[in-house]
Amino acid sequence: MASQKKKHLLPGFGLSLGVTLVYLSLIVLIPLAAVFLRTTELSWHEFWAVVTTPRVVATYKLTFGASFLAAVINLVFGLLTAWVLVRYQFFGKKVLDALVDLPFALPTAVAGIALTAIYAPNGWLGQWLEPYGIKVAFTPLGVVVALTFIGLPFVVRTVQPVLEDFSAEAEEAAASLGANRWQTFYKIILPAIWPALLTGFSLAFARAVGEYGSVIFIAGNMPMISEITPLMIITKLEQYDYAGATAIAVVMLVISFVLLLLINLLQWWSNHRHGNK
Amino acid sequence: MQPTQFQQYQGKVAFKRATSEPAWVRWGLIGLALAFLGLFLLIPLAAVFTEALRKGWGVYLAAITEADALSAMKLTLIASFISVPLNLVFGVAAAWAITRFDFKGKSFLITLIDLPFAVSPVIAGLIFVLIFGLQGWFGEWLIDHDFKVVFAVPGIVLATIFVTFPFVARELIPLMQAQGKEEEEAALVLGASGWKMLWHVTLPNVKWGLIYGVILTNARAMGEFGAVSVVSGHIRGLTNTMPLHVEILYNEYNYAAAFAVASLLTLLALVTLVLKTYVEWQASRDAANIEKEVTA
Amino acid sequence: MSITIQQINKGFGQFSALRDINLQVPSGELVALLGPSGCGKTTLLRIIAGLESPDSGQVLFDGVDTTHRDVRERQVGFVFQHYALFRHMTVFENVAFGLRVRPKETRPSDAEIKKRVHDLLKLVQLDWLADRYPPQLSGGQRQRIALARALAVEPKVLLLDEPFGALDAKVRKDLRRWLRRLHDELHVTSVFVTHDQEEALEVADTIVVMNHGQVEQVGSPQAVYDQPATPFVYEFLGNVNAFETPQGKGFVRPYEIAVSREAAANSIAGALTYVHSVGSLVRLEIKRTDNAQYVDVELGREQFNQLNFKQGETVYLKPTQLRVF
Repeated sequence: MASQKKKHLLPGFGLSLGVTLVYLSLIVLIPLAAVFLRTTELSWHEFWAVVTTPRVVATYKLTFGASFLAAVINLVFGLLTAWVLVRYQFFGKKVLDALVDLPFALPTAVAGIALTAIYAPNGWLGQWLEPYGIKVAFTPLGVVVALTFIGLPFVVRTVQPVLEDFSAEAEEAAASLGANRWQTFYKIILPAIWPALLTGFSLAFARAVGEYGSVIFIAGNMPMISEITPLMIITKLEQYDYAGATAIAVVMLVISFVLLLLINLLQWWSNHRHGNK
Repeated sequence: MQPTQFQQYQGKVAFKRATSEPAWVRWGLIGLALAFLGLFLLIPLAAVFTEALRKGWGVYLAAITEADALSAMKLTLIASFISVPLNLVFGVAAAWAITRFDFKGKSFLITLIDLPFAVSPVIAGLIFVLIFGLQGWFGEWLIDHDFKVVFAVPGIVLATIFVTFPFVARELIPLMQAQGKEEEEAALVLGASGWKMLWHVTLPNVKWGLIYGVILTNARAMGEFGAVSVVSGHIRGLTNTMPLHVEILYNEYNYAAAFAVASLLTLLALVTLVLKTYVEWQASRDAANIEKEVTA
Repeated sequence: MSITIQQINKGFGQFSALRDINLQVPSGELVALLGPSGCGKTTLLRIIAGLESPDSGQVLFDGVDTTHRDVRERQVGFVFQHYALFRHMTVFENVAFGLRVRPKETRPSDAEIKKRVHDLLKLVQLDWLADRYPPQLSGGQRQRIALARALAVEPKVLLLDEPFGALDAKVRKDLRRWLRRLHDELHVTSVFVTHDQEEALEVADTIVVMNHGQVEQVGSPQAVYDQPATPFVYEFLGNVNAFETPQGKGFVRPYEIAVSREAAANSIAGALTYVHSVGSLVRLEIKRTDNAQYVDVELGREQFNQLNFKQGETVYLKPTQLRVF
């Protein structure tokens, strides 16, 4: 009888799950496990020493600080962009809507050199900022600019569908009860899109933390000032310091996994809320 | 749902009456959004092409037809041609198992599939160096058998597969979940074999999602930089992909050539966006039809 | 082909969907599985089809155990609740699907398939829609195409899951009659699931009333309506008044109550609170004096006109038929 219960009507359960698990293990799980296993070659003391040297700590500060700032910029302007794209009609809207995904599609190295060309002291925008003493390229500010670029689509694309589905009735009800436009936005619309906003924010943040290609060109990569953590890993690798590279990678991986967990919780939470409605 | 003309008309009237901002707020917001998108999307886009053509068409054409550039293109295409089909097969298998059957640990499996999204591309490259590199687990064995993975094409392909791993599965899972399994059951009742059901019912139904996933996978595969950079070793003419070739040219201060190759990648990105928009449009048209089917 | 269900049990986790189901469907009959949602009727239908396997028990087709036979070999036609038409295929290709997927040896030729499909489309009177796609059809048309598709494989048994559930009232009535006529023509053993008592009473030869995973009663429409076997069947089929009697709970149909102005032995007093007189029947709503419960009574219009009750009047009720459980 047990065998009867396991019987599935639709075919291919064993095959599809088998393919999935084997491929997942070979490509993702076993290689990732390698990172953790390789760190065990270091003692805890050595590990701690590697991941807390001042130069490495400076990269954490820059990576997470700039990622956070970029995600905040994207939170504000992503919401604004989603709002404008959903609510208003204007010339060229469809093209802009499609272009929002450019940072997904454009190779990061291309983004990196393009942004550098724009913000270099003699660049398109850089030459106008230079007289005011604002330096973007080859400073931490440049890192923020690059990370803002690559995180741009996330908030827009998570908020957009929620705004599209948002019922006009709720807004009309608020208006009929005497709320002005700002109150309606603040008390009715914002709470409804808040989970999506947070999800988009954390996706942009997580992506920024790991980003490499677009940043290294514009950052200038000066130790203690404009080095990001992924670059640190590459620097160690180029010095054949595998253990050091691995240790830093483990720190990043753990942080990324925590972020992934948070994002999943957020999505679960927003689905849950949505389901309850 | 495709609103009828009447509904659209009604919606607009209601919108104006109760739920619209004053014109100056509206145009202010539009202006701000345009400024933001212009600054971060349009200007970089324009910069790529302007810089690429700064020294004229002659230099441009020379840069993209030079031998090293051509071999970089070839390698980029190889990496994409291998990783896209593999991830496609995996994506279909994973989506089938996850959306059509109940088993323990399903949501954990979905999280694991997402994992490569959360891993820095640099680390994605590092893990393969750790396994196949000189000091890696299989390093000596590989040297003994004269087979190179790291600093060679296989490593580049592996890293590319890793970073593009979840795309197809991510597109298919919600789609197949929403469509349900009734049509597949109908096919079986009518006597179709498993493969016939897959080929005639399942795949045609998820056609747009599948194409969408492939487009995203391909774009990422061709443009990947960080992961590939770690495993490639930057050997010109041998292990350079197009993005890596851009980096080398740039670091040699050969800006015009760097931007020329970059402009090809940018065109690829633009084609991707056009295809993506077209597929989204097709898919939403189909979805509107299905909606009609359910409500009619 | 006759269907025999023996001792079927089925659970989903903790939930027991079917308990000890025994059922006999004679060859050529049109049987309705009737019950509220969640009563297990769809699960039973899917077990007959082979879309679900029972935890224990047997399904026999013509006395042959088919419990473990694959759905593809059972030769059943199944009409899904939402039709499950293949949305990317034309109507013609939908109906032809079951023939096209046969192995080469048994697959009919293209010409034969074409003829068969057009015959079926004519049978369901939709030959002119052959080149359309499912999303372009109305609900009723989809329903008939789904039926034609199921019939294309010449099933020995036709199974329909809520066949009229997703249609609006007018179309539903027409299709009901049409299905009845079609069954009379084809005489293929058919089982359909419904939660609509009116539908079951009008269409089926035999009704199987189900509740909480068990069969409450099996019988002709008349039998289950006039002689309900359990309180559940009484309340589920048609309107009914429930009374507390010393012997237990008593059930009376609204037309099985005599109303008069004079009190009699054992009659119940009440105030006439509402008169609803549209159509051939007049419905009276009476509030009992003793316990303030409402009783529904139906009278013929002629009878009502003779008695000429006025709203607010005190009347006396006496059941002409009472079943006590």
